[in-house]
Amino acid sequence: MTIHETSAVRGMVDHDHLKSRRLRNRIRHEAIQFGVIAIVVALLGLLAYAVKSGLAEKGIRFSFSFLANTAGFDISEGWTLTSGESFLPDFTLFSPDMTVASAFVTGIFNTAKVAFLAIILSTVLGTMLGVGRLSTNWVVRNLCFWIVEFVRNTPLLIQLVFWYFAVVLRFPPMASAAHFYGLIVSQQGVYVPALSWVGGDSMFSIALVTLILVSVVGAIFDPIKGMRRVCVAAAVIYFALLFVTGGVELNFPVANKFKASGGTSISPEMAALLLAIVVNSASFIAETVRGAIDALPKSQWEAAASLGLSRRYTVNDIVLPQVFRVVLPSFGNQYISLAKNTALGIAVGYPDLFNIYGTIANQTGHSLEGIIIVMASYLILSWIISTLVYWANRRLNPMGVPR
Amino acid sequence: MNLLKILTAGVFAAAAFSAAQVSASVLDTVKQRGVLNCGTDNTAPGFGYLNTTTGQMEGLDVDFCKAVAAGVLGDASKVKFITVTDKSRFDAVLTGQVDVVFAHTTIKPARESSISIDFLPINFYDGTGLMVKTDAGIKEFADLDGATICTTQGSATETVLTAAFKARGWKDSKVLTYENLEKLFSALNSGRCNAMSTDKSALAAWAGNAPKPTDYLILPDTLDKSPFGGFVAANDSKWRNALRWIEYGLFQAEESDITQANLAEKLKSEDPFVQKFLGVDGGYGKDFGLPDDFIAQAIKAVGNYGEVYDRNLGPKTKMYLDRKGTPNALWTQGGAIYSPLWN
Amino acid sequence: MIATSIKWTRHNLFGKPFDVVLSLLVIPGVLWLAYSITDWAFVSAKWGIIVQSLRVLMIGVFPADQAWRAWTASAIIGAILGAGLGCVFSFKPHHGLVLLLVPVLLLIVHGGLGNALPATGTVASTILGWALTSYVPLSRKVLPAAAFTGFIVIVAIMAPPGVGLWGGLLLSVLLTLVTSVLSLPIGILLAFGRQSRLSSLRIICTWYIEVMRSVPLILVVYWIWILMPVLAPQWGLADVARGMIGFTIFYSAYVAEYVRSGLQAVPRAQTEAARSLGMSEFDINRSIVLPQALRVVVAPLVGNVLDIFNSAPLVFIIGLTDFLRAGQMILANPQYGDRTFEVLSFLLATYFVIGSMITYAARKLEDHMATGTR
Repeated sequence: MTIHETSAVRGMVDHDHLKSRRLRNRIRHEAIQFGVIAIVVALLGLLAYAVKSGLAEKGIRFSFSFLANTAGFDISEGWTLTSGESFLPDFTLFSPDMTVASAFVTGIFNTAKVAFLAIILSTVLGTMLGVGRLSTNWVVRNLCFWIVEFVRNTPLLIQLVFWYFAVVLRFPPMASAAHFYGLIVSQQGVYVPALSWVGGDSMFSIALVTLILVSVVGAIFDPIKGMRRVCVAAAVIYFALLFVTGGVELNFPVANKFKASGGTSISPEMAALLLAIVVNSASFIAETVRGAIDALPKSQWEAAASLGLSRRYTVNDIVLPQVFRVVLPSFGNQYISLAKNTALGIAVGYPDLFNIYGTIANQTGHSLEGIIIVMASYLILSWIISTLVYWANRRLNPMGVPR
Repeated sequence: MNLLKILTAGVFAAAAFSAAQVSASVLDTVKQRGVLNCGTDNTAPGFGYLNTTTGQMEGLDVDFCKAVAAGVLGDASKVKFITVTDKSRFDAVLTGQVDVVFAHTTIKPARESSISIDFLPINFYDGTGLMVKTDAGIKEFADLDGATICTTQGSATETVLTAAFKARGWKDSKVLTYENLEKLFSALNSGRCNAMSTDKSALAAWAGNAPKPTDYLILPDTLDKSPFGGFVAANDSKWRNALRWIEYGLFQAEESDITQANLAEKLKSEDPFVQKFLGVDGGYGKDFGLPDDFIAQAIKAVGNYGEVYDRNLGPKTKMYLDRKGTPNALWTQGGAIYSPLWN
Repeated sequence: MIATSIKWTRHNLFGKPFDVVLSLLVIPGVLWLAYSITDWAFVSAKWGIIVQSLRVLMIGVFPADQAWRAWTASAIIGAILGAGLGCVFSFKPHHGLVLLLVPVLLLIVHGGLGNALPATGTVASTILGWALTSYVPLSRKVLPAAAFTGFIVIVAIMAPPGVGLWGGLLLSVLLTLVTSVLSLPIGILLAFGRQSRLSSLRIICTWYIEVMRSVPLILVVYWIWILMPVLAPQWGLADVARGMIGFTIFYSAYVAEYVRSGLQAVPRAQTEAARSLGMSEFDINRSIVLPQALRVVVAPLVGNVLDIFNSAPLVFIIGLTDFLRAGQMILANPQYGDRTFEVLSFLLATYFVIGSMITYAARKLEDHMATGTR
């Protein structure tokens, strides 16, 4: 309700009077509006000035020029962007000869990597836990309840330390690690065979890759109803063809003295952080899912049962689709706090953004500038997540469809 | 309209607070306050840690804090220990939350050039070492090509290791950093780290106190030196000089054989140097803005450097670090603990 | 008897083929986990370290000879919390018995009576406070004033040895309480600001809330810790105070969001009705909208208290010795380097017990409020 309407409600006055009063109200409104803005701008300006002079007083330097310096320290894992020879920046592993700015990029990359994987995995696990709490199996039901309860009531920081030292680092050492078709599970990390490109620039191989991409895109967006299966099948066939003709080959990890080389790997630190965050967020997601399922009218279950649908079909086809529509916004909030929780990586030595910031601050002494960069990065990350969730929500709940 | 008033008041308050900054020497502030705010670690045995049975802070760095409090304020109990972490120690002194930091900090140029701090004289000579598990079959640093070596975050060791890898052209070796030493030690035990690297004093303490000390091997290599010193905010020579000479006083006291036990006797000494040194007759304090008996007070509180060392790090402690033959011995015994000329 | 249990098992564990598979997979796993945890806890774990350093865990670096101050403070906190509890759930003797288990347990493992005394005092005052507000309704009226006085007394008692020395579980609890209390009014103001008719105010409040909800708490705390002395050096704010400010600034945004959801739950017609009666906007919000809104969000707000408590360990970043850091401090002694799991398990168990109590209180409150509205 706006001011105009308010005065209109009271309006037992003649038209002219009303008009001048409206004008007066409007001017007052604008004046306050202007005042608030002016004060906030002044406050921010003053704050900035006070910080600046305070820093100068204490002899603390404030400039971003340190970003171009050589880092001089190593980061245990992570990719970064550097200005390569070509027009596009190179995407390579970080090395100590690169700049401090590259180190920040590595941190952002590592944080985004864990956040992205954790969002997907925790949604899956969270839904399973939430549905599991309504299972007809007594053990499963209670197990899910206690997992959720335990995880929600203890600090993530301690959970993380437990996952790392009590679970991940209890894996066998490299020498006695289990080798399973190229999969190596050891405390130096989990190594899996990776695909590597050996097709060179042969036209045939490149064409096959293009075809695979097209089929995958087709499978995801499903432009013509019913084409999904065809697209998936095509992708699989093309891929097999590519493999047989030697366009790609499996690169198996080989264990050597201290670690393994080849293949692709997940470091123990990342595994622990991922496990801790996934289980933690999944518990919160489970609660949301369970709440939403509880909120559904009981008659839906009864109707499904009377139609003779099994419980699994009821959950998968009737309950969950409705639930996802309702819970998406609260999932969004959970995703954002999940992304922020990656900042705890420092507790297990995972080089996430905050951890790398700590190293940079210590080696260069520019902690205030670093915090600004880190804060801005997290803000952007959070906004990307909330925009994506908003977009997904719009797709799931088109305008006009009542919930 | 109420909101407006509050906001205006806020603006004025902010303006008032940002103006009128004090720019006196920290020395005057400390004397006025009557308490020294000293930044130390509380998780580094031998240097600064809380003895969980007695509830008292102990360690070499802690004793230096006490000596400063005794020298400046005449009372070693007038010190407030403020915990600083590896991450917060520089910011703590820059923003004036602590007057001085003694937190086993390695002195290196980048720290003085890019952070506005001034280091005090070296109070402990250490070196970057490596420790492995005995059963790993590693005998020297050269065996570690391709290994994962762990250290603490923000330590000077981080860059020392990186430089060592580069010098030897090792490509596959990785540095993994943890928040604190106990995590580092757990990671070494679990096998995640092939070697643990930090200052040798800390390595000795962790190996020596482990349930089975023979499980660990400290490699003979010293990757680089690691001299520790306290530090203060830059551009305050009055404060820094006062602290430097308190520290030198502890060195000189050992050289002149003045101890906590024989202090009372020495105060009655006829020797003109001792009389002046201890502030019985004249003294060095006045021009530094300190009491003339500042060295006597510091010795009364913690003893001379040798006593401080032996109490916290010596062979009789859990750290088992003998000074003999190391730079931590007095220069007259072949070490590097050396005080400039008093006279 | 056996027949019923077989029937129960069939129905609950092996009802359908899928359930059989699940049960066969899950039950051995759970049993194995339970076995290995029990085996470790009762056979190989050396719990002596916990008993030995219990004081450090509880009050951190607080000087040992001044410990009575901390114990008095914890007794007062117990009384306030107990009294708060009494306003909602009436006290029953078995509650008291459960609480009294803590000092009895301590007495058994610790031996000396002197060591169990602080715990006994805290538990006793909790029970007293709880019983008082349960049986004497009049005392509920004076509770806010009494709690406020209690806080001042706590600060006055704890301050002399130095605010910087606060630590351990006591610090975690104090931090949680102060943050929860301070963030409430700020959060309410922000929530109203976000719904204000002034678009400028609305935008500013929205921005504040969104930014705070997008950055990690650890950064906010560290930034405030650096900036406060730069901005106001003459205040000489202690680390603890700056930590509390950082937490308050951060959690106000969360409180604001909870309160806003409550405000939206108040039917619009009520505001319009009040307006038509000629009530001022301020009066409408204060006496009609806010009480109803807070009633709705009381349970989520208690849940928020749990969030604050669970993130309290992050103050390690500014050198404070909270409960978790106190545990790490024990482990920092190389002699205890192999007791990591004992210490961490104790921390985890304590957090779980306290967290569960808060969750339980929040659920009960939710039921309580729900029945109240019907």
